Amino acid sequence: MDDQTERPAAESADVPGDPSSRGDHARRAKVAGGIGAAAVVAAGVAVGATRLVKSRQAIPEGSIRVNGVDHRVQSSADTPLLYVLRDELGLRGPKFGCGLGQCGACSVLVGNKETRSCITTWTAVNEDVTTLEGLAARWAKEKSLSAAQAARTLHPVQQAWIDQQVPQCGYCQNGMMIMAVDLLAKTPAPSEAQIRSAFTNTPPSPHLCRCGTYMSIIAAVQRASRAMA
Amino acid sequence: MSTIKDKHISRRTFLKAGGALVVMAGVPLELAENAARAIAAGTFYATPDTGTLASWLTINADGTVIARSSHVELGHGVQTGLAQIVAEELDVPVHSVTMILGNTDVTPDQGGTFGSQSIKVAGTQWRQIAAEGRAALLKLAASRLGSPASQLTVKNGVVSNGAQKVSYGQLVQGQVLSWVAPITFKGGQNGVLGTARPKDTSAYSIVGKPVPRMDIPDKVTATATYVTDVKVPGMLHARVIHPKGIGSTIVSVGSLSSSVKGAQVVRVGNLIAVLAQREWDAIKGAQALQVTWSDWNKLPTSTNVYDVLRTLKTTDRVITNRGDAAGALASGEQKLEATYQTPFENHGMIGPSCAIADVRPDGSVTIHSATQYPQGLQKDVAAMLGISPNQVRVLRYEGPGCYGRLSANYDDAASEAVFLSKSVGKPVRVQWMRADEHQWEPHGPGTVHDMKAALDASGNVLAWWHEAWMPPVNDSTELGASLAGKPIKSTGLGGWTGPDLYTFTNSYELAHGLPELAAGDTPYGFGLRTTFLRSPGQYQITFAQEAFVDEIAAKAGKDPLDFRLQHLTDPRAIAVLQAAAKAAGWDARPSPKSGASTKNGTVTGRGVAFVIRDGTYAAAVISASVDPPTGKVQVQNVWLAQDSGLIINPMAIEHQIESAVLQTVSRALFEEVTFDNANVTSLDWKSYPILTMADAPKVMPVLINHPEIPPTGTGEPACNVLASAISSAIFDATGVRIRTLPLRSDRVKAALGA
Repeated sequence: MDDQTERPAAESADVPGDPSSRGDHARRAKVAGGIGAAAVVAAGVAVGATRLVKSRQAIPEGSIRVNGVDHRVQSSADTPLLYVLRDELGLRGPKFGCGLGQCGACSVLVGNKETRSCITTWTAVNEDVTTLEGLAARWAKEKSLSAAQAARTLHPVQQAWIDQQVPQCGYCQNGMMIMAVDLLAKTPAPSEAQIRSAFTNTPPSPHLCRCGTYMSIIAAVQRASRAMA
Repeated sequence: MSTIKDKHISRRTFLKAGGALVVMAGVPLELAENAARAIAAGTFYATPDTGTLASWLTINADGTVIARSSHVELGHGVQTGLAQIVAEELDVPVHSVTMILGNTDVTPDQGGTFGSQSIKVAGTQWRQIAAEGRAALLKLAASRLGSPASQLTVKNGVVSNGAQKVSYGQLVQGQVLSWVAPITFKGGQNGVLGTARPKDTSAYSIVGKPVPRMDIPDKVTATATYVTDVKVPGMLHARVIHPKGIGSTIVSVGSLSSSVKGAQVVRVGNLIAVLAQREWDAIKGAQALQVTWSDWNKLPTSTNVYDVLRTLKTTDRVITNRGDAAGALASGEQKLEATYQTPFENHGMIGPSCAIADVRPDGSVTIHSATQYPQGLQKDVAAMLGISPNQVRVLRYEGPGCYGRLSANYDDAASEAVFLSKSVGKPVRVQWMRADEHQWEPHGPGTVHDMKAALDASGNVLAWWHEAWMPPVNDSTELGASLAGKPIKSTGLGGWTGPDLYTFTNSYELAHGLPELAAGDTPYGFGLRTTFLRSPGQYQITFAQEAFVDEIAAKAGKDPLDFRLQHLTDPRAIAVLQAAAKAAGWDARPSPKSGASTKNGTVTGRGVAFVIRDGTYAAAVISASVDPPTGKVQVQNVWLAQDSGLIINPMAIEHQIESAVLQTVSRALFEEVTFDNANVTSLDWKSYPILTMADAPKVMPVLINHPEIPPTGTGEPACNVLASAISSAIFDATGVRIRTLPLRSDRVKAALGA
């Protein structure tokens, strides 16, 4: 169990062929819910890392900076960021939903802006990218948390998503949480109407949830807002 | 070291560390009868070869419990609900139970995850299996503590005789014990026979409590493994190029431009794909490849389909025939006739189909899938390849919500990946693009309903008549197999579901079962494919039925809630309607409301509806606004009362209800698959819009608990009571009844003529 949590996401994305590892995985879920998410934070910085960098440094040519780490990219220049994140870096947060910028499942933060990685080529990205995997570390940095505190602290948006029991299938929730972080940075205490508008009217499209979790999302955004105040 | 006196608990190995008790109950069907006889005779049947037995339950030396099921987590909370049931019977903390779900190597076949069966059927089986496990542990404890099992109590996995204590973990420490529980399952339903007596529900402390869903933390922290996350060494990415028309076949295939590096074309019959090591190369290759398809144009269009449905050859089935409905219709003082129509719909998985197949030269096959039924897919893949199911392993992962799409057409992407992998001798990952999913998913069928009623002069119902024209709600095809020329089956199934609800004296209900549209006119055996879409058949039937009940109530000048209550006798039905009405603050009056208008800007109305689905009772009261100038309908509030017998996890059920309500508001207001004579033309979220957050209603669930009644489904019932309630709310607000779904703004605007 312990060695599982230390594994980088790129490897743990591999086939859990041994049935017993699926049991470990399921148990780990409860750990993540109970005492924090060391695994997540570790994954955010360990995947295919070339080197840890300070955010002020320029991103080298041919690289992208994701969750604070520079990565030399092998994919062709016209490849959407989504495939670089998922296939080269082994990240799982951003999901393929439409490839058309119509649903939001693939969203990441580029700088502070919610961005659809399925219609954005990686070469068009010149700022730091934060994925769902990097939200906890991003929060820890913003709040100057100690390493020990950071290891057991999720981003308040993630914590609110757990506390409100938001996800059903969970496939769209990456984009929903990324959108929430974007919204709360600009509007720290949004009204229900502002939340509905942000998730519906922010270009290029509404964030779509097929399972029907929108009302839980509204409650979770408000909960996160209170936690971040 | 304890001495095991009970001969039926066999000790296999001694260990220095660890240890476990494995509870097995996977009675092979051919043994079930023998087992039942043995149980009846008071003897245990011989232990079958464990190689053919599924191991259901393991109690580990560290006190943890592993339970295994073919049921899978769809985001509805079955993992948590089953864990609660297991923990309750074993008397262990719920978080000590880990559910292993959907792996054909290790999970016994309890059926697929659909039709609200997981708690109703598998949960009932688990209740008995865990009770047997507890009984086995108590035998061990009785031996250890020197007290009869009847004098032992268990709390949090610790057995006590009042003076001494021993934990489950200590009981199995250092040993591997196996126990074949004397259980047999009756006829695949939820009947289960055993010798241990499950707990009385009045003693429950875990079942019935709001336990947070165990699958959520991983989903929120990007550590859950979705099928789309799985990477197999040596795997190639594939993009399939699907036929132009539903019945089109390949005429010619161009060559891949050399500008697409590392991509190859693979063709098996009419299954054609571009494969590459890099996903983006496969996508570019598939976009660039010129495939010429034969013309095919034998489909009705979505514009004329309702007329066409009435002309097709039907297989009729009388659902209800009580009294003399035809005679009463002829003699009634007041008559009502109306036609209701529902469109073809998408499941609309937010992530398109994805699966990986690894067909090895030695004949073994591994499938990575998000299917709703791993064992079903296992059998289908074996049939496609002409091999034994034992050679096929299906590992199931989290997937985008599927709502029936992966239930009986177990996994189209897997069925394509199998043939592609076999062809190239490498693992192949098939990922559909958005247009593939919108076009080629097996849809929910469109339907037509002719409704008639007759009333006497005082408004009493003399006759009720419902005729429905319904294509199959499922065809069980697997797309890849059909395209590759190895179709495994195509059986149009189902239509009308749901009981006759009201006590109308003269009642006639007739289902015209139709063939799948154009199925006889393609070389593949399928036409416009369909498969179970959340509450299949019932959703359509209940829309017409409940909206027409409102029409009758309005004609009779009666309050639509009172009218329903007057024609119901089942106390659970009456209670659920009253609970929804009470929560909503319902005041009795007929519809439409006084002041109903299409001329005075935005107006508001209310609607009520009721259903019995999967043994569960659900009723909704809704409020909605209607803006005649634009035709926009906004559902504002939904009070949803539900009685599903014993409640396992109220928190999960409340979320299920909210989810079902929002998804169904989406279907009722916005969704319609469009098609021309060749194929589906609504290929993305712009041409097939769904609910956005802006239009999401507030949902107020009201749960009615009946611990004395076995639990029934909670995934589908709420889906059935929204469409008619919205139609009735529009009527209440405007005096105009709209009988065709979806209640989209253009249709509403035209109907209101404002």
